[in-house]
Amino acid sequence: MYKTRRRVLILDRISSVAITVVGLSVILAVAGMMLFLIGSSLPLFNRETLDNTGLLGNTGPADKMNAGEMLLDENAPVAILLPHASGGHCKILARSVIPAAGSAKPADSVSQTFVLTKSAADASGLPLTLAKVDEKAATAGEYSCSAQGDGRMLVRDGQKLHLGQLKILRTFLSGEDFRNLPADQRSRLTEEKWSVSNDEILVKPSKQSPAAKLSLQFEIEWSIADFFTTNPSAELKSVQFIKRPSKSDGLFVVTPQPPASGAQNSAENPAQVKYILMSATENAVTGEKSTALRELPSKTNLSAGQSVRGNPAWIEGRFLLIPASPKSFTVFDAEDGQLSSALLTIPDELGSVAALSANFGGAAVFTESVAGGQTFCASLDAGRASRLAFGSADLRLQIPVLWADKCRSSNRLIPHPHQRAVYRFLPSDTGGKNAILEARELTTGRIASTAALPAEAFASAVTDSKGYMLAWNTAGAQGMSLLKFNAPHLEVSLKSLFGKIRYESYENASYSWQSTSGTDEFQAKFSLVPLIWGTVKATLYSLLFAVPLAIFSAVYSSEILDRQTRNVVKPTLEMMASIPSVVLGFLAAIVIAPWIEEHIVSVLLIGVSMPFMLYAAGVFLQIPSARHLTARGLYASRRLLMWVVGGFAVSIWLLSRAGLWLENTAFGGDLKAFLSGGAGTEGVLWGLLFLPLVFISLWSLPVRRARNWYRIAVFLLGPVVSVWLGSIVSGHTTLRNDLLGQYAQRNTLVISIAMGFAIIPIIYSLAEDALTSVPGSLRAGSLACGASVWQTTARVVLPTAASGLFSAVMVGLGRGIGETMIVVMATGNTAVMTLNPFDGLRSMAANIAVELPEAAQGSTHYRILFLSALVLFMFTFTLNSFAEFLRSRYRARNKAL
Amino acid sequence: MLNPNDLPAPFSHPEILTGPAQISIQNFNLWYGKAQALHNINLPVLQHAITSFIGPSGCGKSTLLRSINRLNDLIDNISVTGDIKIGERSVYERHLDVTSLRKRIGMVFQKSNPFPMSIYENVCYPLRISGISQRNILDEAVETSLRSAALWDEVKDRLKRSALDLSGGQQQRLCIARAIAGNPEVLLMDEPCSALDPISTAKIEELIAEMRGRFTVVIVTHSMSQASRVSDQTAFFYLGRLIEAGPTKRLFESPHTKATQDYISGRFG
Amino acid sequence: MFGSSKMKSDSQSLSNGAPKPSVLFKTAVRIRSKAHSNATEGVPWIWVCAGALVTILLLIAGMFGIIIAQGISALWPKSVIQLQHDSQTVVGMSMRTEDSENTETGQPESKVLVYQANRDFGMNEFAFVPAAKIGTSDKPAQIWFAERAEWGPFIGRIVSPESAGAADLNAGQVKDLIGSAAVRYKEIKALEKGPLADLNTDIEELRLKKRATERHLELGELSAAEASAKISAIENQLSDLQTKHASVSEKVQTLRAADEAVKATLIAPNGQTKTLPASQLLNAYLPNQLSVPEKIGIFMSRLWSFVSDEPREANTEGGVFPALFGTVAMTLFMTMAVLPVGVMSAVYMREIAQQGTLVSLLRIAVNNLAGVPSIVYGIFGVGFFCYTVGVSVDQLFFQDKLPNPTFGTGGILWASLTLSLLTVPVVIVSTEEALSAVPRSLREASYGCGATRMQTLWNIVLPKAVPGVMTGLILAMARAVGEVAPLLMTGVVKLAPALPVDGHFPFFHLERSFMHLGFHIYDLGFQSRSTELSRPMVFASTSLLVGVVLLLNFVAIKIRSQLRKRFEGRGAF
Repeated sequence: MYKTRRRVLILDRISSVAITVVGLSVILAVAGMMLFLIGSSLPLFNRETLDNTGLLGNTGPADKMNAGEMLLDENAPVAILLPHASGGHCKILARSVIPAAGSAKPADSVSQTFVLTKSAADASGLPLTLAKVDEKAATAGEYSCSAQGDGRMLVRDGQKLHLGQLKILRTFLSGEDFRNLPADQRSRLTEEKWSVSNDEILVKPSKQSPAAKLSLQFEIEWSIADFFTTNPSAELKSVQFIKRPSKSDGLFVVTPQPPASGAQNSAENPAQVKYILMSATENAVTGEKSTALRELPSKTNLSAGQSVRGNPAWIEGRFLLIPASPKSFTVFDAEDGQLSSALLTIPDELGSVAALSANFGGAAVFTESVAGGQTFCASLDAGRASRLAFGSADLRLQIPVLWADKCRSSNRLIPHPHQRAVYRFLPSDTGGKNAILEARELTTGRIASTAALPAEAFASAVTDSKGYMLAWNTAGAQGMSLLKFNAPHLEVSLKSLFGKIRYESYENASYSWQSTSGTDEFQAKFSLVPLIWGTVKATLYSLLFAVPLAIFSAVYSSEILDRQTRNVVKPTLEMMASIPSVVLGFLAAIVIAPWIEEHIVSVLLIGVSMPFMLYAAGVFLQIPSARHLTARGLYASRRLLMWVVGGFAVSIWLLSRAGLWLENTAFGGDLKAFLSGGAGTEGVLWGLLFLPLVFISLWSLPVRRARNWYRIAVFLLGPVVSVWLGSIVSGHTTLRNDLLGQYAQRNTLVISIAMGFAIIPIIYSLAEDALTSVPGSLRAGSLACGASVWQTTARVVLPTAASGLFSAVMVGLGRGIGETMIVVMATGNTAVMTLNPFDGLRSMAANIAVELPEAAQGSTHYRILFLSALVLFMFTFTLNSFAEFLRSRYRARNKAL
Repeated sequence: MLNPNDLPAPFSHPEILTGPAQISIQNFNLWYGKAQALHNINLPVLQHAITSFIGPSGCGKSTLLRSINRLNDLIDNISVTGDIKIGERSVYERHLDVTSLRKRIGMVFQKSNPFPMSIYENVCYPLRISGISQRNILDEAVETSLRSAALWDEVKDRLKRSALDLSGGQQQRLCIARAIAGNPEVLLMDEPCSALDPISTAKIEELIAEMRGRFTVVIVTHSMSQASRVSDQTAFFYLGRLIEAGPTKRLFESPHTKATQDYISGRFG
Repeated sequence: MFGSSKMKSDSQSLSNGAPKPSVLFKTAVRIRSKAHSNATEGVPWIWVCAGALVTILLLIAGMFGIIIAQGISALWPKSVIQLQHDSQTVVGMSMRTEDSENTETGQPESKVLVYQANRDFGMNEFAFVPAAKIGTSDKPAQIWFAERAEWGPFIGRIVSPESAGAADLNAGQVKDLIGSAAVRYKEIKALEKGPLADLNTDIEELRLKKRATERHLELGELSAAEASAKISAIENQLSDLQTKHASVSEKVQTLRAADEAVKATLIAPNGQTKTLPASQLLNAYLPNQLSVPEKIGIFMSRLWSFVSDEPREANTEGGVFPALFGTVAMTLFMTMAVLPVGVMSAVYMREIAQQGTLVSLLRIAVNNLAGVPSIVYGIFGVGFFCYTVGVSVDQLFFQDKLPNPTFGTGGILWASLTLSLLTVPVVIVSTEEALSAVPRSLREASYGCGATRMQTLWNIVLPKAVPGVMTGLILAMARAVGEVAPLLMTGVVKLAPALPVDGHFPFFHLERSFMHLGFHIYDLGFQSRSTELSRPMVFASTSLLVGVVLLLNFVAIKIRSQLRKRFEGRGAF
């Protein structure tokens, strides 16, 4: 009696478990892929947050910092606070504010105070340096200074005015210097803390970066000797310097000091805001710097109580919007130093401007305006308007509005320095104590997020590029509250992905995809609509080319072709499926595209008329052998194929000649020139389009089709009728700029042929399998009733195999949508949205292939590419599942036959 | 078992020619590629009479049947000599229009093959392919054919339903209705009842009996009882040769050749 | 005319012979008389179908024709022609004639595109010569076509350096000049590739070790004393490696100097001369004095060098060996990954799982894997394999090499894994097809003898399914060889310094990026300096790629038809 050995049983158990695991791994692969795509694109949609990390204790020394400036080092938990128009002596407070990496609460606030002093002659040749003083020491430095934004300071030295830049210098410690640091410092460094020694701050090494030393440095860029002599009434506090981006000159805005009552621009002395433009030149050779001041004629006649909060803003680093009246601005072009003749006005429905702030990127301006008691927030395309202002004849020019909607008026506006967003301080809506800080995104105008603040704390605030914001109250000693606005993917929302948006300096709202460009102020345009349009257009045009060819060939090879030839034709077409798409793409771009551009008219003529030429051959050429064939009931197909090949050669030669003749007569010698508006009658073009419709309609008239004279009439009459129809229609519609526009060499026609080439074998083999699986008894039944071979095919076989054919087309469609290399190589990858077959296109798959290698990992652009991959995946997933469902239902029904 | 070469030479059957022959098969041979399937068949089929072909499976009786309406053309390498005439027109004439020929010959297959269309469409299919689309003619033809196939009462209220929902017997009768819808002169039936239950078989046999006088019916069957019940004339085939043919009663009671005697008595087959 | 008229008379004669039909069939008779023969019904549609099939066949023939023709003409030695047109003489190989619009007159005119090469002789590489204006065009005998290591090919005269342009070297002299240069070149290469390369890798390893100890010190895991001891040990190991390295490279220098001594002078048609070391000339022939068999010989040698040499001049010249090697290596790695997974999943779906909802879900998953666009695989590959798995591998094993990633970026391992994911459905589908072809009776027979499920599988079912698995595998390889989109991000580069598999220790460097034939075509076709220059190279690699793919396909179809024949009888299909 034989017993199965234990080893065999164990082996059996192990391998079946292993196989089960691997079997399920395939499901995991698909699920994993989908999860991964979802995982990488989901962060796009999580809400922006504005969280308040709480109060930082009192501000330290008695005199309050009514406004300040915050400078941050990338990853050192240190913030440098600067006095802002304090008027008093120049006191700079360096203080650790940002929570050390990982911990929520900010590190205990070790702070350090510096004061500007005259530097000793020999020190570093700089007139002014920073000296560390004891915090408590109330000694006043002899200079007063006021901060002007990202570290720049105005320093008053007697009658002279200095413009300097405060920087945090970071020097890395190499292995050796770190080793020979004094022992105590090194040990303290490694205990998770930073330490302050004389005027340097040491930072702990981390996994990514070694230890470093931070020091504070003040460097004077420009000094104007007689500033205060020329405008005696000005005080340092009332002078504001707005630097021109990426240039060294800028604008001084001197607002007259309001009388003690603090009301701004009181009625008695109407505001005489003075605008002084400083242009600075540096002699490259001697390094000697010279500055020239020029006062701009300001027509500001702001009436009492109306002052435009937010200073004149530099637009695109070149123009200056100077508020001329609550509803209009004059434009000053710093490049050629003129004032624009025209006035830029705000659209009436927005009323008069209350506050204004230049957004990041400098092209658009965010305004709050009041009309009939209701406040409107709007983003105006100032860049475009200013450029127009100089050219246009009419005096009043309306600034185009990017978007506008109702909102509550704010007390204070601070633009985000590195993202298209603005912080708005709003009084609390419920009359309660704490105020509301709202961060609003500026491409579509949606409110990104809001945070509550202790009421008084919103008096003034500073922000830095990484989204940190320090808000504190100048009145009480309530201390500072630190907020963090993190919006990694600010520009992305359902509206910006799929909606129509008016982008900066664009004529009108549009769907456009422009992920990157030269400068980083560039407004990234992430609308997926042009890409989806490109994918669908490429796939549909290629299906238009591939499906008729593939299905008709499948019918011929399964119903009519004899077995022997079929065993040769079927493998050749299946081999066609394995041609790499990179070869197809390459051939399309290098060989097919130029050739088609050369013979465009003949290609169109052949494409449109070839099916009808074949049909005509069938109707007219009842040649004896074909009669014999029909007599025997079975089409000895190889001889018919030879006839067709012969017919092809003749008709292609004939049609190309006709094409040339047509091009010279109807389209003025060159279709491409004609398409972009050249000479030529459009009637013929319409005629070409109508040709198929005319044929089909004439053919389906109830006249007894069998009559020969009727058939001949259709073929002769067809072209004439279609051209005649074309000329009527072309009378009052221009085909050229809506359906058929400019001719691009690598256009959708080339794509439809190249991708059609890739899709044909797939549809062919699936369709052929569907047709051959129709049981033979049906064919025999139909033939026995005296039906001709084609009647059997058309009336019995095709309806039975219909769902199989349909699922074949669906799989072909799925392959077309997923096709990458062909579309990358054979189109111009231009994201245009037209129906025109002569235009290029940019499909999602091609877009990913081209852009992903450059996209930074984790950036918005990177995640949007993943999102488009997810859309592609879902598209093909539904298509394939539907095709699979159809095919299984079809196979079940066939078994019943 | 009988080996082919000691079979009697083919001979003419004077006593069968009592009426005008509708189909006359004159020394007809057929090859599948190199293998010969039919050897020198001479057989007249009486007009409006029911002829049955009997013989063991693989003896070529179905092949001969399918050669009459040239359905064998579907198979690739078929070659044929001799002739089959319907009336005086030869079936294998050089420029014969096969579709017109098949319109005059209805055929019913072993496994019922209704088209995946409605019952109405199935029956009027032969008329539609001849280009007839007037409603009234089609309705009349469908009613006539379904009545003569004894199916009208069962389906008259659901003509629009799919033919696949009918039972096996009903489907076969539908195929018969379809075959006679074009008013053929000849009706070929290839083992029509082999896949049916006894009740449906009985119904089909009644139908065939009624057709005597209206169509020339040729029925291939492997059940000798069915042949004796239904047919006026029977032909016995063995290994591609016509062994004996004659009136059914005479052939079953006093067969001329020993081979027929053995087959009828069931000694081989 | 349609054969129907004759029939009509015939049916009347038939019916009057028959007895008067009963009234029931009066309508039927009326019907038939009116009917026309529908024999020719639909023949035109058959022509349309035939036309469709012919169009597809013509498209295929056209495409293969273009590829083969251009592929051969790329490597076929063309003769050099000398064209005089008005004042200038143009010497070069005529590529093709283009008819385009003459800018001034606007009339179409045909121009001959002549490739003059000699990029470093101040001649522009391509010259358009209007066909109409060509004066004389002859084929000078004493013109050399030489392929050079740098600056592209040279067309002109080769003279011995001493004779100051007088004595042309004859074919024999040039041949042994090049032969000896090749020998010297091999010697230098042997030294560089062998000992020098090993020394470099060792030095690199030591440097990394030093870096690692410094970092441990910083992170406080090592005391200062231990750290400095270790570092000094490493340092003197480094110094003696340095000395060895110096001696070997000094030997290489002497060889190179000797090689440089042997010179040759080239004189371009525009008179400019240039003397350069003979080893620069890789091979040279007199195109106008070649007989056809010689041309075939040169074609064969260029074909061999095309397949075996390294690329030069940013891939526009030289061979495609690294790309071919990369493609083959990647495909093999992929096969090793896809074979087990594919076969096991198919076995699971066909044999082990009960055919419930789970299996239909799995089947839909498999079909969808086949339908997923290849670019999505690329994204998944780079996102999951490179950035998730690769980065964590770097953190664990290659910390000291950070911040530049080893496995954290594209490499041949990740590329082949991504492709195996892409091609696993093909293997699963064909394996399942082969498994279902094995008749049930065989399995029952084996179970009857008391074999366990795995024994039955291993001894009976799988052997029968092997041809099916083979076809699936080959189709998968054919797809992988031609695929480019997923590779763009997971490891293919324009020029890979080293092969993924080479002589150094771990032999299989899975983290290295590699070159791929498909990408080579995409990159050359679109991102090369001048499409005109790279055109022959691209067509040559296209025909190579298409040849490989067709070979794989042909084998698959042969096996599949043979498999079908074997099971034909049982009507399994």
